[in-house]
Amino acid sequence: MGESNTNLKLRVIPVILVHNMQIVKSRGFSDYRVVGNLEQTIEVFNRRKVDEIIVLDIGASKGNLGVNLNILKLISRNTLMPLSYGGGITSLKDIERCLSSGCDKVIINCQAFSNRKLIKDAVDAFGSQAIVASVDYKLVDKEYKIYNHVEHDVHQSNFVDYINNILSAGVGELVLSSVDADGKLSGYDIGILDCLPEMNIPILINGGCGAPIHMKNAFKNKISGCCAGSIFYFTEYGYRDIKEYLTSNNVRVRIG
Amino acid sequence: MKIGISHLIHKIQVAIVDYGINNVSSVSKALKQCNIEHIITSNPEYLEKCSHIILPGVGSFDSGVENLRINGLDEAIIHAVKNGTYFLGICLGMQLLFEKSEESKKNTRGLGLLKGKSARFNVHDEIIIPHMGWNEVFVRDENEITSIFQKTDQYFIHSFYVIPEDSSVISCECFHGVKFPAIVVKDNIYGVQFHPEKSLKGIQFMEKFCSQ
Repeated sequence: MGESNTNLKLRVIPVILVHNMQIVKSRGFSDYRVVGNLEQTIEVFNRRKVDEIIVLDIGASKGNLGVNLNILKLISRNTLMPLSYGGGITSLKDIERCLSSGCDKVIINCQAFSNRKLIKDAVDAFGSQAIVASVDYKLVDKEYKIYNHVEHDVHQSNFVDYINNILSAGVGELVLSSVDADGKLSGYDIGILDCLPEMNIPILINGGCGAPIHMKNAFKNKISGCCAGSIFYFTEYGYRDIKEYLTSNNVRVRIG
Repeated sequence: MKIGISHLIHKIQVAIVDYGINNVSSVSKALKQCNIEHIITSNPEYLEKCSHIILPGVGSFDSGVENLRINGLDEAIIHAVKNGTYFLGICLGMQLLFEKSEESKKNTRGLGLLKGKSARFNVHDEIIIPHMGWNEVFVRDENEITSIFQKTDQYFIHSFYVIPEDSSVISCECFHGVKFPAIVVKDNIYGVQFHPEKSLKGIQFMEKFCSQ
């Protein structure tokens, strides 16, 4: 992406994982620990004027519970910042409910395996800008594979074919989450970015950020945003520290 | 006395149009923050009576128009705006102000309150599409209400942008591969491509819009 082609800022996006109405943090997509209260945390991020947040209800698809209306209610009461929501979305009605509760985008993960039509219909009804695909990946024998967090298993399909299939359904954004790097605070697994097919939708990377330099390194690639969870709960770096570090290293982020 | 009060209520009523697929709650929350009384409605009769109409928008151009037509909201909006009701269209709500959109698969007509169309961002400009995130807004005219956005970052989330036939309606611009209108203003009609309800400056703007 040519620097001069846009004034669009690169995004720093806190990720909130919710389980039973509490905020949890995982390592390697397991070993969940409660790290905070949902309402308070959303309020804190709202006050810090973060670029946007991602809220994922990780219990929803595992327990086949559908969209958690209590979370949506809480979000719609408390947030002004842009927000993407994922968890238990299986129908157009679910998506409509999320958007009318104040979500700007919905994140569809499991559905990408089984229900390409839902994504396509959702793009037609709500526009591609509202539909985000989330892909979890894992390195197996030096090859990137799609990870299914419900079945705790890797998908056998070819990674590039899988991504191309999602792209052709018309999604407006792609979130890539590394299972291996998750919760380790040792940096993103950016090797994945070299394995992607050609695309021009925003790409967000997630998993493993433990210091601002990890974001700086990730932003050397063609991505639109860095997502992070643990850094906000387990390190001394605050949201503003990260932004100031990135700015002083000539990464084009919003200070505001 | 009774007459006076009901007259007053009708005078200051701000209406957010709920046409099924849009994000009314964020806009309503923003108005609550600045203590602007408002109603959320899908009733065309209310739109004829209120002083300000806000049309938010999430979704595609075709579904937006179709949903406005179901209750005759399109006619009510056109009628009210032509009678001087202040109008603010946000995101898709801005694009619906114009005559047509490249997004439409059925050559659907928009409200046509402003002349022009919406076009898609071009991949050949080597940009990421949708245009998603915070981007800088430049003020082009001396509009008292929109000038607060000068060189501020505002939140955009869209793949199409408006091209007005009359470029004098462009009040603010933004740059993403092309320069495109971030805000258009013509008399009582305002269209904003970004989401003012997502920023403090934007909420101040909405307050000023509703107070005029």
